Amino acid sequence: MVELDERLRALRGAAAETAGELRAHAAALDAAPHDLKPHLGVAAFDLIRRCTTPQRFGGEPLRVGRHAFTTGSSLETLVWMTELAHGDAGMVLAAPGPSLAGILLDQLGDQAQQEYFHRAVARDAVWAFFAVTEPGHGSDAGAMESTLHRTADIHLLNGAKRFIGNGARGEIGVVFARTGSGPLSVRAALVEAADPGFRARELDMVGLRGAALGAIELRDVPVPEDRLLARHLPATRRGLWGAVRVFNTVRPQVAALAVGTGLACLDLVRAERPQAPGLAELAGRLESCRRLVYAAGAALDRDRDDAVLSSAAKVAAVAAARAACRFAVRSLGPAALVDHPLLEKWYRDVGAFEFMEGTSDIQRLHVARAEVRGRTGGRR
Amino acid sequence: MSARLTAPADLRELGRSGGLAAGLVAVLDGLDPAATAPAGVALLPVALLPGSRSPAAAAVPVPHPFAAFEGLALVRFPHSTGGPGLTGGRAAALESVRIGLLSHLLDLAVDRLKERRFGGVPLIDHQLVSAAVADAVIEIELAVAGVSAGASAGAAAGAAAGSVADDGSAGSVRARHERLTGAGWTVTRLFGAAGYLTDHPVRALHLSALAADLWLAPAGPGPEAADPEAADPEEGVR
Repeated sequence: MVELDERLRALRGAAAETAGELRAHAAALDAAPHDLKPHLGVAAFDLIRRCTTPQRFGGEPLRVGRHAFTTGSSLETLVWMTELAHGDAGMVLAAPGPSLAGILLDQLGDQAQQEYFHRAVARDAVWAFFAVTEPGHGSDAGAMESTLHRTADIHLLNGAKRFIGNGARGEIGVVFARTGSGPLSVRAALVEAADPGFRARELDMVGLRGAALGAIELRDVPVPEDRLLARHLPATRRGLWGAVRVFNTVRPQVAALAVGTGLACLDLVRAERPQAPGLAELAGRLESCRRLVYAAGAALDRDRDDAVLSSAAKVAAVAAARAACRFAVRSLGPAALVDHPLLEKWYRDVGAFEFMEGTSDIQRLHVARAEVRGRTGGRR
Repeated sequence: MSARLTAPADLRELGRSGGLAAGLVAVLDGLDPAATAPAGVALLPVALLPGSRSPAAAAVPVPHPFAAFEGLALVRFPHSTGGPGLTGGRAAALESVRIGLLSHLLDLAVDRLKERRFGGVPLIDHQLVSAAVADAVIEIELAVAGVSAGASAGAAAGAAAGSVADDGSAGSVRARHERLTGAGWTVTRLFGAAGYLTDHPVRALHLSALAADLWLAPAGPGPEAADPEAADPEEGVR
């Protein structure tokens, strides 16, 4: 298991200092998730930008004492993300910046594409979308129907995407589509919302409304050759391989958001019923989940394909967060759902974690397959 | 409560075909919501809001992103000092309404799972999905049996045979409601991300849990409160 060293403890402390401000903005964001103007100045958004924008493309590192933090480390991301989600996970997901598309660009983009993308999102209040999921296929990315058709001088993108984070507010992002029927025919393209034929609309979510899911329609969206990602990589590394890498990276982040939300629910109980039976046990369970999340991040930093702990962390953290929310509702009684609007909101929010980056059933299958292949036994 | 709607089967059918708002109207029939709501807050059918045919005490709306889509309103009664909440037969009646609603949404989920495919195989034929469907069915059957057991206990205590009566154990009714909340989440998951949008009918299951949280008499000290795992049925329901 991972013990945070002085550097990571400093990062954790810096993130924790900004979490309270996120919480103060959370209810307003939930009520109007597409109006980000009142929230753009929060300190945590600056922290996120610094920790997700590569220095080589103009990013300024986060400096905490003698330490500097920038992009690249999963463990570092999970440390700050857990603390920020302890403030409010919806606000974390509302932050402008490269988000999932940035992770993919780092995997599949060439130098020029990375620079074009990162400089675009480095401007204030620019969000990025990452469009894989389609209306009829959910987690089954292999059944993707969107097409990328080559004409004489350009590619044309057609199809529909749904449940896309930043889908309606994103100015730039990546869209996955097929160039043919084979498993290696899926490609990712760098696309801008202003491109002709690109239409997006907001989806009204039950919870975690700061993520601002959207639906995207693509009708003959022109994609120049130099906007196709992974041209410099072998065919096996061009399409879904990159998406899988992104999901592997983001999965423990969902777990971190869940842990933070669970901790936030327990804060309410601790403030009003510090002796509530079961509080210590749930706090311990969430702390175990936090450790598992950190371990998943450390494993990814060693090997980007070692994602079994990410799956385990997501299943455990999502269940624990939901248990913490139910516990808070039961412990504080019905008035708490109105007196503490964030409790009612967090109760809606925790459901979202189940559906992000693969359901618990999908994660169970990942864990079981890894066990069968002998990829988990060495840890025990 | 209307005499013609006290039988559990009728209440289940009301929840199934009429939805949560219609079911709550029946459950709250004859009650003053402001005087009953245990903490001065409630999820009320719009039909019971002040100014409509069945006026309640003054109620201040509390913002909620989708309660209105189900004909419901989250409200606070500013002058309330807290009522007793639903107990006994009323709590069991709400349980029957929730069972009917859950059954309806499970049917919709199964229809969806038969149509959608993953890896070329209908979702319903994937073992983990089938297990979740089975778990939901088992919870529904268990809940129906629980209401029946409560009614029998009530009948033995002198209540009219065949009606939903107070079994004298608020804790057991609360625990059964908590299991329904867990089963509701199991069914919600069967709709995937589509079920996480406010335009999807499964939103009613979230509101069903909220209704139970707001209307049931507060829990007293006991195993349920002492052991969160024991009252967290979804832990074992996937």
